[in-house]
Parts: sequence; structure tokens; C-alpha cells
Amino acid sequence: MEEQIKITLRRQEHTLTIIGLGVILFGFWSMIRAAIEYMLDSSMLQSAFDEFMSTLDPAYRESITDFKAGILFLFASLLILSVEMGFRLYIGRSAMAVGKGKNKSILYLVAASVLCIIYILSFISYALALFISSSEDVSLFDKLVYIVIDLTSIITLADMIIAGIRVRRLRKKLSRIN
Amino acid sequence: MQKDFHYYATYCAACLSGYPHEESLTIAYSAQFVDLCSRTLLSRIKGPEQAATTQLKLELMEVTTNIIGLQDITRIWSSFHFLPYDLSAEKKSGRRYRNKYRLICDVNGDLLVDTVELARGKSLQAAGLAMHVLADTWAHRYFAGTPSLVINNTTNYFYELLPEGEGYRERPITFKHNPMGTDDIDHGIYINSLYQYSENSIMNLGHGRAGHLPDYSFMRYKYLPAWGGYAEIIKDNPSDYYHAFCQMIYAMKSLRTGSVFEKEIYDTEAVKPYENRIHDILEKRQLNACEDWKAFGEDLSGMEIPDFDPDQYLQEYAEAEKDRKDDTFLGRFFLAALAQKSMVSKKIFLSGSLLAGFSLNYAKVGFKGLKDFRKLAEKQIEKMKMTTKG
Repeated sequence: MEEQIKITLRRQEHTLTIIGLGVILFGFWSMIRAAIEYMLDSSMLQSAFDEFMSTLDPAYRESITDFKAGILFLFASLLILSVEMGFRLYIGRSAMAVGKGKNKSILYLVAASVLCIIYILSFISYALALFISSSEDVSLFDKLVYIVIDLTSIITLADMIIAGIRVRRLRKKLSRIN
Repeated sequence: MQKDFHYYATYCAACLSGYPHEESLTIAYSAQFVDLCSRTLLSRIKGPEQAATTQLKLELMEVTTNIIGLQDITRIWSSFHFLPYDLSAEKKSGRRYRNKYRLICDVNGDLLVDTVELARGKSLQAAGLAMHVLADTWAHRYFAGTPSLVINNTTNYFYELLPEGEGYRERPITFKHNPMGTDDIDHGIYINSLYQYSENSIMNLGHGRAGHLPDYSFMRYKYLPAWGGYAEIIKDNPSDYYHAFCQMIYAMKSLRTGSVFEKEIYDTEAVKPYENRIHDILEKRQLNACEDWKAFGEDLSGMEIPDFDPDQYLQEYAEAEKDRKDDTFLGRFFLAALAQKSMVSKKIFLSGSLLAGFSLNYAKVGFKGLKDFRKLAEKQIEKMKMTTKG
């Protein structure tokens, strides 16, 4: 009985470690993908820039040069990507630490849940966009790709959350037996 | 296992089973020679290539891991160093994985009985070869003699169990890949083969991923084997080596006297007067126990045990006439090696696996295949004819 619990625990800890690494690597990949998208698709870059500029105060917008606007846009983009990356790094590193028995926090599970909900909402929006054609900013192929990516992320994060909960329960069970 | 056990300990076991000094030396020499009889050595003396019982590191580096290369590797390592435990083991998996799973070595398998019986009535060299195979089933348990990541890989979960008080203290083992380095038993730093994600990489052959740990008689450790499904294996080498020693005595008595050899029987009575001394040798933390086993052997027989000389019988074989080669020391060894390899390969083939290649029943189809085995087939056919005539 105890040995069976230990076997299951080791399996879940391994899952947690692997998925944690996956979350971190996926975060790096997201950053690289965004950079490649902006570099290859100038219209996307332009629309993102225009959207950013529209958030600024009109008077301020008029007063700054294009170069300064570009720098501001770059910093803002990097800030958003860094926040996302930092979020993923926290989740991934915490999961790996828990998997290796070095951490007992559950905050990473809360963070993973938040990220999972964001991906679910994104998935729903792209899935609906398949049937509701609007301004067609994004092509059908791109929508399908985003759907697949979001689905993968949802499954991965869900797997991590389940593994994290199981690890916690199994460790409590073992400590009760011992 | 290493020279300390294959040569000196086998000599001790042979003495204890009743063999005189010279015959014990022959058996011990043959047992150790299994770790040296490579194609490189055989090519030096123009011996039969297929009688190779090991592969040198350089030879393994040159081997291609295509199907032919893999079959060649599996034939050698499964036949002499990682005798499969259960070729009919059931496992819920695909056929490819199941065939590899069935090659996992463990003690007291049916093939062990076949190995000992194959040596019955044959030369002392055959007995020595059988003792090497028997001893290695204890040391190399839980690994397979085929390159396979999914069977032979290990993880960072690797702990040495150091005796402390009534129990053991766990010390994490650190593995480094440094072919020129030596194991640091004081700090728990050991050399192992490099991690390669390729399933059939040579690095995943046998116990390479666990380094030399299975070959040290003093080691106790726990780890998670790749095939184990996260189950922990605790390896107690002092206990396993002691069982190997006692089983060797029983096996050699069986061969010498003609009594039946059965699994799971160990001649502990014969070693009783020397139990403490043997346990002391096995538990002593040293990379090489040759001196201790040698001293024990010389005390047993009262005779001097010469150091192992790998070139001792090479000239005899090289200079012998072609029709007299089989009667030389090495000639008898080569015949025993061919017989063992043929037997194990056939069993693996009959289990439905092609990991060791094809095996043909020469009694039905006549001799076909690798020419080195012709002499074996001819001897067997001659024996069958004589049996029929009688």
C-alpha cells in the first residue's frame, strides 16, 4: 500500500517537473513567436503600434516624435512580454521545485489556474471567430493555429494543476502513514 | 563483475566445490577470459570471430546501431553478461517494448539452468564460462544486454545506502561522464555513460547508465530503473555476491559430480567456516578486491594463484595445427562460447524476438548461417549420430 502510494507520488512529481519545464519553454517560445510575427508581418506590427498609440493621450501623442513613439512602443511590448514570461517562469519553476520536493507552496497552482482561464477565454474567442467572420484581421489558418496552441496550453496547465493537487494529497497520505 | 570475482572468487568457489588446484585455475581463467575475448583478440590469433564473448569500447564505438549491429551486440551481451530471466514475460505494451523487456537479466531464470546444463560433460573451460554467466546474473540484475534507453536508463534518483547503526544512511550519488576518470567512493562521485536520448545508442547498453556500481561488491544502492514504472529497486551487492558465490559452488559441484542443478539452491554449508571472511571481503569499500580474494584462495588451496595473464594461451592456439586447434585451451573455450551464444540466441529467437537475429534448426535444415558455428553444428550432428547408433 505504502509502496504503491510512493510509486504514484513519484509519477506525479515527475509529471509536475516535466510540465513545469514545458511551461517555461513555452513562454520563451511565445516571446520568439511574437518577435518573428512582428518582423515578418509588417501590417501586424503596424496595427499593434496604432493600437498602442491610441491608448496615449492625444495631446501627448502629437507632441512626441515617431522615434520616441517607437521606443515607447518597444518598451511597452517588452514589458508585457516580460510580465507574461515572469508569470510563466514563476509557475514553471515552482512546479519543478514542488516536483523535486523542494517547495510546498500552492500559490503556483492559483497562478496556473489564472493562466489556464485566460487560455480558455482565448480559445473560446478564436473558436467563435471561426464561425463569426468580422473584420478578418486574422486569417482562417491563423485562427486554427491559435486554437491548437491554446488547446495545448489548456491541457498542459490542467495536467499540471491535477498533478500538483495529487502530489499534495499523496504527500499528506504518506506523512499520515509514517 | 570484475576480475576480483570472476577470477579469484571463482577459483575459491571451484576449490570449495572439490576441484583440485590446476582445474580450479582453468575454470577461473576461463571465467575471467569471458571479459577479454573480443573480436580484436580473436583476429590476433585467427580465432573464430563469432566466439567473441565481449566487445571492447573501441569496437562498440565503431558498431553501427542498425538492425544487424544491434543483433550482434545483443547476441554477445545477452549470452554472456546479461542472461535474460524470463523470455516469456508478459507485459502490457507493444511488441517491440515487450521483446526488450524480456531480455532483462535476473537471477535464477530458466536460461541459467540451460547454461549450467550446457556445460555438463564438457570441458573445464565450459564450466568456467558458465560460472561467469551465473555470477553476472547476480551483479547485472535489472539491466538488459541490448542497447535500450527505455529499459536501461536511470534517473537522478540514485542513492547509496551507507551502513549506519542498525540501518542505512542515504547519500545521493553523483554521476559524471568522464571515460578517463575513476570512481570516488568516498564522496559518492561515479562515472557512468553519457545520456543519449536515442533509444538504441550504445550508451544505453547494459548497466552503463549506472556506471560500475553493479560491479562493486560493497555497493548498496537504490534507484528507479526505466522499466520499473517508478518502482524503486534496492540493490544489495554484498548479499547478491554472496549468493552468487554459494550458487557457483553448488553449480560446480553439480557439474563435477553429475548431480542435478536446480534454481534457487545455494551451498551455504560449504562456505560456513569462511562466512565471516567472505562477508568482510564483500563489504570492504574498495574498487578492487583481488588481493583479498587471492589471499583467501591461497589459504584454501595452499597453492599460489598466478596473476591473470590474458596472453597466457594465445600462442598455443595460434601455433596449433588447424585440426588440433579445438583441443587447445582456447579452442575448448571458443567451442563453449559458440555453444552458449547459439543456445541463448536460439531461445531468444524462439520467444518471437528478432533482437538476437535468426536461429536455424540445423537438424532440420542442415547447416546454414555463420561459418564459425559450423564446427559446433558438426560436433552436435556427430554426437546425435553416435547417440542414434548407440
